[in-house]
Amino acid sequence: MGKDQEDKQQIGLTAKGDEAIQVLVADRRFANQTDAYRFAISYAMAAGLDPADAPPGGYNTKFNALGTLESGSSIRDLIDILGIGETHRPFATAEKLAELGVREIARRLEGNESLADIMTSASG
Amino acid sequence: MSLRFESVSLKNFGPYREIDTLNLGTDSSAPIVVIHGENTLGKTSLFRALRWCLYGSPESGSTPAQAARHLSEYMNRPASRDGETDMQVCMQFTANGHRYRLVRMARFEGGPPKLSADLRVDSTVIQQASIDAEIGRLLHPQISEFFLFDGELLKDFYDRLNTDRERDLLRESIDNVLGIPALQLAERDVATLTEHALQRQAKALKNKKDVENARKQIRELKSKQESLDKDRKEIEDSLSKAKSALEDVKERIAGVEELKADAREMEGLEVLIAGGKQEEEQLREDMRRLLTTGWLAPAAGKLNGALQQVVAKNDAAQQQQKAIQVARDRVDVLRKQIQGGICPACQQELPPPDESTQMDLAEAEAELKRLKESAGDGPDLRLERRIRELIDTTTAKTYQQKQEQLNKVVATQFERNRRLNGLKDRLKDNDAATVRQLGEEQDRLEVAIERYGQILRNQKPKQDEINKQQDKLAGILRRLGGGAQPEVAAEAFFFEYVRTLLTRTIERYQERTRAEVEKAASEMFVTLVRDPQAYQGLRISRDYRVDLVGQWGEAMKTSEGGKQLVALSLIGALKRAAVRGGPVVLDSPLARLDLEHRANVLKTWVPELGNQAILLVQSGELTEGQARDIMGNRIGHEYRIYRPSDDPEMATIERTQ
Repeated sequence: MGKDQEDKQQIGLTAKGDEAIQVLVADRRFANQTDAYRFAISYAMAAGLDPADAPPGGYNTKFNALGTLESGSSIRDLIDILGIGETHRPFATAEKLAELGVREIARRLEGNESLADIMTSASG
Repeated sequence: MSLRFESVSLKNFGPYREIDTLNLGTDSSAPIVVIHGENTLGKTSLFRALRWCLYGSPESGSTPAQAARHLSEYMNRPASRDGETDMQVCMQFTANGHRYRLVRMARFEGGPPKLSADLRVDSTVIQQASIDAEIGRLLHPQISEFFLFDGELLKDFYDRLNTDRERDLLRESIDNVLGIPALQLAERDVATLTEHALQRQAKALKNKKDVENARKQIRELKSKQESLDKDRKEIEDSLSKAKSALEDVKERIAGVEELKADAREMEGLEVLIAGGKQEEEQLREDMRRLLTTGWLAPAAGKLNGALQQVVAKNDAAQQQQKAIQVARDRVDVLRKQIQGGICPACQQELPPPDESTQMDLAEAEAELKRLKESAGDGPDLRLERRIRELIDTTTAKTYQQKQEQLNKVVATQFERNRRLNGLKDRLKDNDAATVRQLGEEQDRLEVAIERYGQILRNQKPKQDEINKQQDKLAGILRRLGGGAQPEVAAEAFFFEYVRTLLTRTIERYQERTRAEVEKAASEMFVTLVRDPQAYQGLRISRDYRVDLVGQWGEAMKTSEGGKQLVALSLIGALKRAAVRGGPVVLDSPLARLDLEHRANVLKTWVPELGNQAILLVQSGELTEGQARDIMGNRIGHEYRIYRPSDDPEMATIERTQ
């Protein structure tokens, strides 16, 4: 994949990722799916999940990366600073991190861990 | 019977954690035990401990089953807090030459208390089922008001005596203690036997016309008697059913108080649950907000790692730049020295250059060059600042705290809801209409019982008429039959005689008791009042209506104080009639009397009560000094209730004499 490939502007989740994010927003833990999606990106980075392990395709658009998801430049800065995945295509990387993040968090929630436990263990 | 209390021991009853063997034993020369205690210290608790031990109910007017529901209120609270579960009162007493040891115990382990009692007479253990009967035989609970007397009731006693129901209760109590109902039943049985004897006597008659006449009269009498017996049995059955139903209704009404408490608790719980719900919702909202603003929190650890690296890199770059600056300054100084001039550092004239200065300059320039070549990019402070901005060190901690708060609130709400559902289950069948209906049912039953009692009383003249006709017929049969069948005539005569004897015995017994009570009450009253010459005494009618009789024989009205003296006199007289030789325990009997009447009561009334009087008094009615002045060496034991610490829920008893 060449370095010239443009970054994604519309990002989302696979069908399986979408099922997982429903678990996250159940019981109104998050105000909305956008908050859960951002949290999942952050969690995936903290947990050392590798974007290369995420499905390469099959994502259904959920958000406009710049218009809805990104406020300021936090997501791009995170990916750049931590040097995760394709740093020149931060939103494409963020999408894969979100996919892995929601699946992992959903798995832990269904294992009766609380979001507070998950957050504390991830933030070290 | 000569019953005497010897001692009482208490464990965890009311404010008493442990009272080990309070000696109550007295003799005829010093029959009085005085227990002093200020208000709220525990006089009434001690009084109720005695009542509970004897009858299973701390308060008069309630059955042991009713009392059990509120018994936990008497468990010593500090003991409960320490995890103790048992409450116990032990009494030792003597009666009829035997030693009695009665222990009553309640265990509170959640739910209804577990109750038990143990009675030993000398070394014989009395069966559980027989304990109440054995105690009742010695001190019948129906007359407990005459020897376990709560002074607070004094003010009501006189007025209660002037209602038909209370008088009936009083007379019934006395009759029961004296065994009158058994005599009345015997009277009825003998009436039946008399009737059979009359029938046999009629059969033995020789004149046909006489036989027919006698048989006709017997049939008529028998029919009347059967009708009367049938009516009486129906009424007695109805009365028994109504009394049983009334007991049931009263128990349910007693339960209503608990239901009211449940309803109040339910209202309180609903308010708490609503508040808890708001608190829970607020916490969840706070937590959602934290996730909106603090979504970077999980990455804080990684960002910290990155920050350490950037900071180290920036520190190294800054060190390198400092070294370059030092080398550059050295080159500048050496160059100026060679050119001649002022030192930029110390502003002194520089010494003239020599060969070594040239060599130093060459070395300094070489060092500067080496440093410049080895230096990378300068420090990236913008990146360092940006990473610091992204690191969130507070959200995870705050979120965790909120989660813990939420867990507590949810657990509390769960408990509250569980309790609320329990209360709702209890209350669902007892709404206001049901409670009102219970009150109406009680009124209806009380009216019915009153009416049945009246009907039974109205039967007496009818029975008397039948008896009279039976006597008349018996006389006729005796005359007509002559000695035809002397054994049948003798039998009829015998039964007639026994019946008459029983009737007279009952009347005499009742009348003697009434007269005895009237005489004793009158004597007591005139010794208590300040102006005895103004009264003849008390008149007690057959139905126990009490009148105060003035010096000219007229019924008099009296003051509130006078009513109390009448009540005291009557109680003393009834106690003497019903509990001969037994003990009397009086809780605050003097509180409403003036000093002169108090002295009269102590000097004349108390000694009249028998061989043992236990007085529970507070200093407002009788100080320790006054007690000794008035009663002197007639006091066998004197105790003081006091608080051993600042804890208002604890009290103990010490001996003062």
